Formats: sequence, structure tokens, C-alpha cells
Amino acid sequence: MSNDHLAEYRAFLDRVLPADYDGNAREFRTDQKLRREFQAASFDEGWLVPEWPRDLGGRDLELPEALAIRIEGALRRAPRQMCIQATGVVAPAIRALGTPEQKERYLRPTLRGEAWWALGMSEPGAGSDLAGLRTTAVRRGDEFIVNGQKIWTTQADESRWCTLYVRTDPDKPRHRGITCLLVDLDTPGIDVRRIETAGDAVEAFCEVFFDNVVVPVENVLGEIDGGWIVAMSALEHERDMIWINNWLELQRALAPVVARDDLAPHQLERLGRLMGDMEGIRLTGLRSVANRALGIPDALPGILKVFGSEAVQRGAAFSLEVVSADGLARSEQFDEVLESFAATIYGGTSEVQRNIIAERILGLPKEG
Amino acid sequence: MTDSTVEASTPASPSAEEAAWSSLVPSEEIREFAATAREQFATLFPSSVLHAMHHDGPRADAWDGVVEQGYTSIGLPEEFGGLGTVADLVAVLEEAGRALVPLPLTVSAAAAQTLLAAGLGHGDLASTRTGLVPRASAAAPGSTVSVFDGALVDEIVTVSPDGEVSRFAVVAERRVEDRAIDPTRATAEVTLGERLASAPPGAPVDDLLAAARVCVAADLVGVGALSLQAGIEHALVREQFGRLIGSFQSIKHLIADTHVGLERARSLVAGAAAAVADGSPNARRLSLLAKAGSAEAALRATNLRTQLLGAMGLTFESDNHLAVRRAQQTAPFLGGAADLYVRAASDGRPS
Repeated sequence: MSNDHLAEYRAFLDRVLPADYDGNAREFRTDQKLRREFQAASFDEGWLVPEWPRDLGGRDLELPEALAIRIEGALRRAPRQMCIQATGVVAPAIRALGTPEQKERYLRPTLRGEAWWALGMSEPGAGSDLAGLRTTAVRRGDEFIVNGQKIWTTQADESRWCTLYVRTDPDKPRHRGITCLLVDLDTPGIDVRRIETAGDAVEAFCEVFFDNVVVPVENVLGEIDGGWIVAMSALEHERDMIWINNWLELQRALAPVVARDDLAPHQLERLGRLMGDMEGIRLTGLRSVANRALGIPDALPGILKVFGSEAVQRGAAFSLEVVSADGLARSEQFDEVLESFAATIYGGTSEVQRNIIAERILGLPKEG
Repeated sequence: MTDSTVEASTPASPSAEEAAWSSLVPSEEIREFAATAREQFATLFPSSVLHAMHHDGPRADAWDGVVEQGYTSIGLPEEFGGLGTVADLVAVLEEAGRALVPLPLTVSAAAAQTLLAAGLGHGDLASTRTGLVPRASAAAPGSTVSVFDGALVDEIVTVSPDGEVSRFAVVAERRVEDRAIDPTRATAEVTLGERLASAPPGAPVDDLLAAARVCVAADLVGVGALSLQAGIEHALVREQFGRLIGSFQSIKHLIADTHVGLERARSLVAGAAAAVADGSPNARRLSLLAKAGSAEAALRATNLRTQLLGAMGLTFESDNHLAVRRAQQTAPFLGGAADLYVRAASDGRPS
């Protein structure tokens, strides 16, 4: 595998990051100016989505080379994007399913970090069962009139745009009458309210209310009543970043444990098992990349989310336990525990993941 | 493909070069070879043959054919008549595990790789049935050792606690234990004959045994895969309460978790095999994790199948106990899971 791109990317990081960045990444986490500038610079130089074609802002890299770039960025704790779902979920969906006008209008500003997006999917009555969503969009001429509510909407209070999943045909079976609309959150009738979370470590989210909101028909992404495909494709994107981040989060969670010289044998056993999880995540992710690169049918992504997210939870819990050996729990590790709860809930709960593994990968029949 | 600039990665210093994926999936050639192995092993060793061996003991007569087909040559250097690397070997050994091959195929591969690690390779590596005895203290001609899967071996490789490796001929009488856990992979008391070769302590024992652990780990993944598949097949035909038991979420989740654990093990085996083949400093740690993970996964899969089959799985007639016995006999060899996780976590740390 050529290391030329990797060397070039490292040189880019050295040039663009502040001189004192390495080793102080934690301090720079809240530096919004740096994060925005870094994303813009990354996009402008083709590093943000390196596997994309050049005319869309990429470098046409093969999947494994692009992966090495992403891993390098994660390892260097490069400044995180301000709105990761925008580039990781929305942009690929628009690229795959958008009209030429939509691509022209949204792709570049979104990738550059200028347009932020919220994902309007979950509702109070529709979490795991997304197909049960009840926000409606009624056609009136060349507009839709939207009524309903979304919840757990990350960054709805900071975003201008929203991919909104609505029911356009109440007579069709559940997932067949859903449409994805690209909605301007400044439209009259939209009320965004931030939800206070259990702690700072829990990622902020909002509820969003829609009261007779007008959305032009040309803002449909994909087909009318074809929104389920958009939703499912959205969940598949950025699968590699999820396992890469799980791998590195687990590494970071274990770092204070690894550094200790007073571990009891039973703790060494647990540490060893978590190392097995860590390497297991990395190697399963890489096997999946290898399968895809070689055109071999690949069922591994289906296990990575449940495996990785639960391993991170175990690692965070173990780390808190070890650093609390004197009986006093430490808040930094508690924050990691708190932060780790969401990973088995969003993007398909662990329970749903297990059902999918059993049914789609292993051929067991559905329940009903 | 060796990158000699890659430093040993520790839990604290991963690198983007770890994105190297090419040795993690066997070549198309090897995949086809492994598929052929699966068919041939299934034909040679149907469960009726294995059941018969519970009464009559294992036989060596299929060994020459296995050698002729090339299964024992994979992962040996060209100079000894071999081809491919350890990364290719694990694909074949997983099939041997899946078929519960009642020959010392896996252990001979493990022994051969240990000889190679000690610089004691020889021209008959591919054809000799060889046992492996780790933790052998004071092994000498005339002494008796307990040998894993030793009933049919003609040579023994011993590894002492300080890393001395020796190759011994075997005195003809081998006494197989009376109540073998797995009669097709029984432990045997073997009297050592002439010492054919020896290498003084050099590398750490866990380095010397890294490839051997990978071999046994691959075998265990195969056993686990067999049992998981059989459990799924049962869940797809057995009905209770008016529907297939595989349609109940509780069953699905047990099966899904076992599948995840097995893929975790398979990934660790692939990573360890690639590291051994590349001479990477990660090989030792990954081999410990691979053996630990595969032992856990195989036991979990064989336990699951037993649970899913209900009482039927506890009969002699069922094929189930063949795999249970194989997994339980093999899991502790070269170190059980808990031990090896401790060793992996202790690796590279001040003791």
C-alpha cells in the first residue's frame, strides 16, 4: 500500500495545525474557530472525503488509502468537525440521491462546514420503530404542508438545514409512505427547543415542532414515498469512522489502566480481554475493508456497531473502576461512562442490531 | 509484505500503518484451496467415522492422503517443500477444525511452526506427525511426557520454560489415556526416543509459540463455526409453541452474540497470522489474544449448540458431543483464555 498519500496528509496536518497542537488536543476541543478553519482547509485540499472524486472535492483515493488517512486524522486527534452528521450522513445521501440542483446547492457548503444539518428522524413515538413516524406532509400544489414533531435531534438549534422524514402517504404500509424532505429550519412554523441532558458528557439534542410548515416540492430528496431508502442508506454511511472511533475511544479509555503498575491478576485478565476487544474491532474493521476492496461479499459491518459500542462501554466502566480503587469515583472516567451510554442506543439499538444479525446475516426468521 | 519500519504498536501507540489490510483476507487461490479442503475433509471424516473412533480409537490411514493433497505444506518455507504463509495456513486449519479432523494435523502444523521459529526446520516437516509439548522440563531420551493429541505422533517437539526447543523421535509404545475427553484427539503418554535436534534458549517462549498458538486458534474457530452453524440449522427446523424456535428473540440474541464472538476470534486469528507472517513485533501479543479469544468463542458456540438442541444434544447418537469434546479438549492447550489474557495485558509492562 502506497504511503505517499499518508505522508502528504501528515505534512498537511503539520502545516495547518497550530505548532503546539500535538499532545494538547484536549485543550483545542472547544476552539470552534480552529475546527471550522480546519474543516474548510481539509475540504479545499481534498482531505475531507478523500475517496470521493476530484470534481466533488475528493482525491479519488482507493478505500484502504482513504481509511489510512482517516485513521491518521483520528490518531492525531485532528480538530473534530462542528457537525459530523452533515458530512457523514447528509452529504453522501445528497450525492447518491440528490438532483443536480440539490448537489450544486448543498454539497460544497455542507462539506466545507458552512451548512450544518440536523437529522429529523426520531419522534416521541418512533425511536427504534422509525417506520412508525407520524409527522405528516400533505401535498398542496407545489408545496408540502408539514405538521408534527421530532425529538433527539442533535444540533437542530445550531443548524440551518434538516433532513426531515415525513409521512406523505398514510394509506401505504408504514415504511412505504415516507419521504425525506430537505428543510430550511428558518421556515416559519418551526420551533426548536434544546433538551437538557443528564450531564455535559451526554451529547446535546433538541425537540423540533412543525406547525403548518411550508416545504417546496423540489426539496424532496430522492422520490416521494421513497424516503425509507434514503434513511437506510444514511445509516450505512460512515460505518468505517464508527469502528475507527470505537477502537480509539477504547484505547483512550484503557490508557489510565495500562499506565498503572498495581493491577491485580483479575484486572490484568479484564484488561487483556478488552485488548482483545480493541484488536478485534480494528481487525474486523480492516477485514471488512479488505473484503470490500477485493469485491468479496462482506457481512462484517453488521457486527461492528454492537461489538464496538459495547466494548467501549465495558472499557469505560473498567477504567472508572480501576481509577476509583481508593473508593472515590473519578469524574473524568465517569464522563466517559456517561458518554458511552448513547452508542448502544442511536443508529439502531444493540437489541435491534442483534435481531438484524440473526435475521439478515444468519437467516433466522422474523418474529411475526 | 514486510514493513520493517513499523514499530511494535502497544496499547498506547497505534499507527495508521495498522490500516494494512491485505494479509487479513486469504488470496483467492487459498480461499479455493480451503473450500476444497472443506469438501474433502467432510468426505473423509463424516460423523459416522468420528463416532466409530469413540469405540475403536483414531487411525492414521488417512494421513498420507492429507499430506499428498498438500494440506500439511501450507505455511512451510519453499526450501522444505512448502508454499504460502501462516496467513494462508489458518484458512486450511479452520477447515480442519470445522471437520473435527481426527488426525494430528493442527498440532503437527503447530509443532512444525515452532521448529521453524527455533531454526530447526527439516525436510520432512510436511509429512511427519508431530506432537508439541510446551512447559517440558528436563525432557530427555527415555523420559515420558504427556502429549496433546499424541496417539498417532512419530516425533515430539518440546519447549522448555526457558525456551529451549528440542525435536525427539518417539519410542513405538504410546499409551493413550483411558478416559479421553476427545478420543479423536486424545492425550497420550509418550516415551521420548533419540533427540534429533536442539536449539538453546534464545527468543522468549511466547515468541517461539506464537505461530503454534495461531494454528490452534484457527482450529478452534473452525470448531466454533461448525457448532454455531449446526445450532442455527436446528433453530431453523425445530418448532415449539407453533413456530420455529429460531424466530424467538431470545434465541436470536444468543446466536447473534455467539456469531459476534466467533468473528472477533476469526479477526484476531487473521491479525495474529499476518503479524507472524510479516515478522511483526505485534505477533506475540496478537497470538496470545487470538488463542484466548478463539478458546472462548469455541466453548461458547459448543455450549450454545448444546443448549439449543435440548436433551437431544446430550445423547451419544447426536453429533453434538463430538464438537463439545473437541472444544473442551483443545481450549486449554497452549494456555487457556484467562491465562493468556493476563499474559497479553502483562506483555511489555514492567513486571
